[in-house]
Amino acid sequence: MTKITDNDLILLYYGEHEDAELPRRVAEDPALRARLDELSRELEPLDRFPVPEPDPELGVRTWQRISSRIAEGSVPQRSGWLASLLAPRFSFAGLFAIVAVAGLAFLLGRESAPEMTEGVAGTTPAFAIDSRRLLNTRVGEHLTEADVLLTGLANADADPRNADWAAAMVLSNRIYAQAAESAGHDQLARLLREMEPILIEIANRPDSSVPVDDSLLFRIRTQAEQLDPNEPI
Amino acid sequence: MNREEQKLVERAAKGDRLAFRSLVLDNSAAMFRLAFRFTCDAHAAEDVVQEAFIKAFQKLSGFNLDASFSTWMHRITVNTAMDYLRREQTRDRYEQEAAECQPDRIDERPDRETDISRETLAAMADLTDLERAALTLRHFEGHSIAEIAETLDLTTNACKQAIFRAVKKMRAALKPLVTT
Repeated sequence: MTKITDNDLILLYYGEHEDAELPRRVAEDPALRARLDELSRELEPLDRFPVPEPDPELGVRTWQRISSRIAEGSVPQRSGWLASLLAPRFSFAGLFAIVAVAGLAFLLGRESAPEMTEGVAGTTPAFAIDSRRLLNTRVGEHLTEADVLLTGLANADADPRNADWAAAMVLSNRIYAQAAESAGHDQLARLLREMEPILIEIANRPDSSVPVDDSLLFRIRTQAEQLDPNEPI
Repeated sequence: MNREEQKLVERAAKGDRLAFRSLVLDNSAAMFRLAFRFTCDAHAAEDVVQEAFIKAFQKLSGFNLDASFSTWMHRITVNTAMDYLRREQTRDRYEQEAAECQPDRIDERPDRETDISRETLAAMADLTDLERAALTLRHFEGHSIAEIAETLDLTTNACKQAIFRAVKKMRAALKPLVTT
């Protein structure tokens, strides 16, 4: 009869033993039972290894953070200030980013006014181009998010988490509408204002049975495609 | 993999973002728990989960539809978590966190509970990345040795040895807590 090692008992503990006779041998031998009990007792604290239960919005939050980057095919961003800046969700950092974009839009609106003096005639300052790209990128991501959310609803995706998702988009939608208006992009501003009541309705109806107009979806997609980060809105 | 999940994976592999979103929503919590056991930090675990899903999306076209999506996702999350550990050199962080050990929650427990949590964290920190991964998948996630070997790209025997070493180290570290 082969000797039973600690490794054999570990396999038995995890139900991975290959020797079919092993459980019987351990059950019949008090010394082996004591060894198995000792192993079990010494590993018991592992079960108290503290793992927090993820909050129910983790899935929605994860999707919100990665969705635009999946579309771009780029590498994920780390958390911290940069991720907070880029994350399309409601947070103080995210809100700050949205407000900053709105501020940029306001400046761009002023810049396009006739009385605005440019450094060199006929040229656009570099900061303004970067600002427009930032604005286009952010609004484009927002529209893509809305497209995915509303397409899901149009396809009867009655996921109760859609309500949280929509709620997180309402504020940014409103600020982007103001930003677009300040930048003189009336068509985009109108589209965003049209989206707001729908987002609010979805946020307030967890069953997500909100009818989605196909023409609105079409316009959202078209607008998102037109928002090339390299072109001003 | 059930039929519903298989359909989602097929659609996602063709670039259907909505299908991939459903996979993210369905699997995020499990991946978070897995990642936390490697990182011992909720924010870092979320980072790992995000990075893992992006990697998954990028590799989805090469996914074998006969395989289990969750097992495949586990493998990506484990590899991403191990990359994170290597990047962050978390040994120091583990030791620091073992000392702090989430004071808001654990300080409310009796001292003995606090000791056990600290010692468990510290003992996990002393494992190699491979041992920690193997033990986490076996002990906490309930994966079979064959599945773990596949996930970690090991032979079955090498996987067993990693688990044996991990258990031996954990027993040595935790024994004083259960005999006092």
